[in-house]
This record gives sequence, C-alpha cells and structure tokens, in this order.
Amino acid sequence: MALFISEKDVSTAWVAALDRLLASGGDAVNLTVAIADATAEHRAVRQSLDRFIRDRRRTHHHSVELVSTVANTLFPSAWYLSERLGPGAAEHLYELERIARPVSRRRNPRGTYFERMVAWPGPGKEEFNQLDQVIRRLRSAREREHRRGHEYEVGVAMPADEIAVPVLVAGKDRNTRGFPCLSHLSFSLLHGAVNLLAVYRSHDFISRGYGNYLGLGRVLQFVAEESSLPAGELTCVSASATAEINRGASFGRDRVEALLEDCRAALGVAK
Amino acid sequence: MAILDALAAVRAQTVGELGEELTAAGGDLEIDSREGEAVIAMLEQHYGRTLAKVEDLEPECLLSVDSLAELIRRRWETGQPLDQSGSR
Repeated sequence: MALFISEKDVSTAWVAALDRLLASGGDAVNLTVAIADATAEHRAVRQSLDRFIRDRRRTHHHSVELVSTVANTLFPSAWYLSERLGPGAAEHLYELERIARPVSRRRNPRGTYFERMVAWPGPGKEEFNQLDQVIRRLRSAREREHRRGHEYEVGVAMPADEIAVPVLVAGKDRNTRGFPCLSHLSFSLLHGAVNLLAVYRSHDFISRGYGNYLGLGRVLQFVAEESSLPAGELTCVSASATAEINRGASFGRDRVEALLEDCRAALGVAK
Repeated sequence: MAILDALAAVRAQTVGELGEELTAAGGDLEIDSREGEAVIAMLEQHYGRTLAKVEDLEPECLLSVDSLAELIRRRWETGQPLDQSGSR
C-alpha cells in the first residue's frame, strides 16, 4: 500500500517516513514524500544518522555513505558559487564537473546522478546538459510571465524535447540493483514557483534517503536560482522503499528502531 | 601547479585570498570531498599522471588541504601516465 508524507523540511520528512515504513513492516511501495523546503534540515538529525552510518563504515567500508557524500552525487554544492560568481556560477559548476569526471569515475565507475543531469549520454558520443535546458525554458516562461506550466508535466521523454531529466539510459542501464535507482526528474511551474518531482525505482531509505532528499533539494534550489524563480516543493516517489531491516544494508530491526528513536529525540518529537 | 593554485581555481578565488584564509585558519583548511576531486583532477591534467587511487577518494581521505597534500606526496612516485581522455 502506498504511503504519503508531507512535511516542512528534510529532517522532519525523513523521520516521519522512516516511522511509517517501520510501522508497515519495513518495506513499502510508492512511498511519496513531499517536502516544502528541501534545503532546510535539523543538523542534529543528520548528525545522528551520520553517527549510525560511521559505525557501519567501520566494519563494512563501502556498503553505506555519509549524508554529505550521497547529497554530493546529486548536487556538488561546493562547486556552485552563486554569491561569488553571479551569472557565471552555473558555467563554473559545469566546467568543474567536466574536469573532475575522470577522478570521480574511479569511485563511481558508472558516473554520478549529477553527471547524468549535465552530461546525459546521447546515442552517439555527444553529451546533453539537461539542467541547462530546464533552466533556459523556465527563464523563457518567466519572461513571458507564465506562472503555471502544465505543458511541463511530462513523463519519460527524450531530454532534448521536454522539461524532464531522465536518468536511466536505455540499453546501458541493465542492472536490476544499484546505480541508477533514481529514474527521472520532472520540473513544473505553479503559482510562479518551480517544483520538482523525483522518481526512484527503489530506495534504500537509511543508506540513501536523507542524502537523496537533501541533494534533490539542492538541484531544485539551483534550477530555481538560475531561473530567477522561487523554489517550491520537492516530491519524491519511491516505487519500492525499504527501511533496510533485512534488505539493503540489513541493519536489523533493533538498530533501525534505535536510530529512529535517536532521530526523534534530535527533532524533539516524542513517540 | 600547486595544490593551492588548483583549490583557488575551484573556489574561484585568487591564491592570495586563499593564502590569507589558510593563515587565518591556523595553517590548514577544511575542504569538501568534491573540491578535493576537482583539485586532484586539475593536478593530474597538469602533470599528466594519476595522483589518486580509488581508495584515496573516500570522503574521510579528503578532509583538508593538509590531507590532500599528504595524499599527493604519497602517490607522486607511483602515479601512472594518463591516457588521452584523462582517465587511467
């Protein structure tokens, strides 16, 4: 059965969703999480989760990643210097991605999500910057004073044609597990604000969920800022989500419940 | 090209500005792991050889200018030539 969560920030949404996942036995289909401000978080919740992840990394080094590492695969915020560079910030970001790619690929041999967004592999050797196209179209909509854009509500599309950012590459991504779990991004304009929908085919909620929401929030903020439009809501649909009790990193129920309690305490929320 | 030149390019600062920050911070500066990757990539392009192995790219290994400098020193002798695409 589908689960629906709507919260104001990443931390509150992630804790509420983990709570619902555990109440549903640890796994769910079509977990839908809407976050009003997906760049806002409670640092204490992230610190609790990172402590939990660090514990696991001591014995299983490559099985899980810290929140910042996960978020960085979606949006490397250290490379986006909008205050310093103004209108040149996006090009600086794209240029650093091109420069760092050979090194990043050693750790992520199939590329990162951000690479798929700004250097989508076309059928030949050409690359296509999907985010740049999204931004150009949203700027055009703003200049024409469009405040709503139902024409942007697209499903799976070729990136050159629509305001959508597919991540899966047909004929190349044949693995049934692992990268890429994120299949698709779709931006839409409503009441003059940019909103983002992200679709995951599967989601390891503890290893990846928090960092994914934060990284997607940064993608949304980047697109909104570059389009000179306010950022709206992030909605993330996970076709299959697991609290990783005995799937994913298989943390076990006791440890996952203890993590949830820590995070609730960090939020100041009683059970 | 030195580490500070590359980091200044990543941060879109002058080397002088970065040097002042480094001094104010007591001689070392925290870096983001993606900044570290970009610095390594710039140095590899400049010198035409690899300067980091996959195990060096764990986020715990790329925490500061000092840890980056230590990594480069350690890998300097064993680096392999880059191929034309810049990868190994």
